[in-house]
Amino acid sequence: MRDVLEQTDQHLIAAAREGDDGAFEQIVRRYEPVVAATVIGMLGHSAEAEDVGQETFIRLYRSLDQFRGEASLKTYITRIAMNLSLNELKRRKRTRERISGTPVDEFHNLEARGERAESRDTREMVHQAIGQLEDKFRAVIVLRLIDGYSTDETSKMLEIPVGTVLSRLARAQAKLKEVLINEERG
Amino acid sequence: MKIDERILELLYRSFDDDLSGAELAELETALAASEDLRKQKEEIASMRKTVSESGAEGFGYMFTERVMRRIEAERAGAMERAGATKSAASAKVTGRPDAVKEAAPSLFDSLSRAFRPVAMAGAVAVLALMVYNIVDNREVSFSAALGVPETTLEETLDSPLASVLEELS
Repeated sequence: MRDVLEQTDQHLIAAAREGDDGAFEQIVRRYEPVVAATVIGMLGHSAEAEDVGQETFIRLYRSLDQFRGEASLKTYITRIAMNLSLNELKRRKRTRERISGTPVDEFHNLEARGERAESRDTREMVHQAIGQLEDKFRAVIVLRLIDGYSTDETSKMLEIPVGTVLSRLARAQAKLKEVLINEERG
Repeated sequence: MKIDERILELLYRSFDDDLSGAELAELETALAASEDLRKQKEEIASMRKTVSESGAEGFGYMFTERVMRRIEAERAGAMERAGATKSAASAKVTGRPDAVKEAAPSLFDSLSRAFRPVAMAGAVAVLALMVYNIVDNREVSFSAALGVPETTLEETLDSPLASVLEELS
């Protein structure tokens, strides 16, 4: 099944390289959920998330010739989405620092902005809890728990050692558990 | 009861990594002995399940169409920038993704585009000056347009110094 899927991806990529817009459109439809899980996991539901999602596919389109198929298309796209999301988080941080004039804390508490837990569904609650994590912890949670990559794949994608992935996962989960339990009790 | 840091670390790791035999035995012994640790394990498993099920499924209605429109716009923009160059022609004909890159303007194209208005303004200024000279000289000729009066050799030799010498003699 996986082989058939990969073969189909390869076929679509080859067609898209030859200028078949319909083939690229199929790639976008197929991988929109993958990109959305990564980008919205990293940035939450926002206008910027959709912009980053679109940009992910534009970058993929521009780099179709460079895609050699060494990694799966899913991994390749997720890597682009993750890099763009991390860039967007840096941009947000710089903007916040410019406005406030002081460095931003690693955790920004959304409850302090007056958003109430009761009015949110579980998915939104989880995204907001993830939003309270520092970028590097957020990235491992999204790749490992939401996107379902192995620790090894996560380590390759973020270019950090597996041991670092594991320690960041442990810290991030401890923080998430605390936030989510507080929200549920909330 | 406070849970030992090392045991807690092993507990978290057990979800993502293969523990060694000794580590697994240590964790299992600790789990058997501690109600709190078993509760922690349940909470972590529940939290991981909640997080893993929270992935967004898409960006919303017509996302694919918006992406394709952006690609078309980018390709059209690249072709427009490149004008009638060979790359643009190729882009138009094939619509290939690399045509967007091929059609990117070269340094020479950018410079020639930037200096085009300057060249046009210069030409208009020269033309205006020539018309002014023609009107001023009341003569329609190339030299009048350039503002260079026609002077004969005799007029040139007939300088004030020659006149003075003539009078003295």
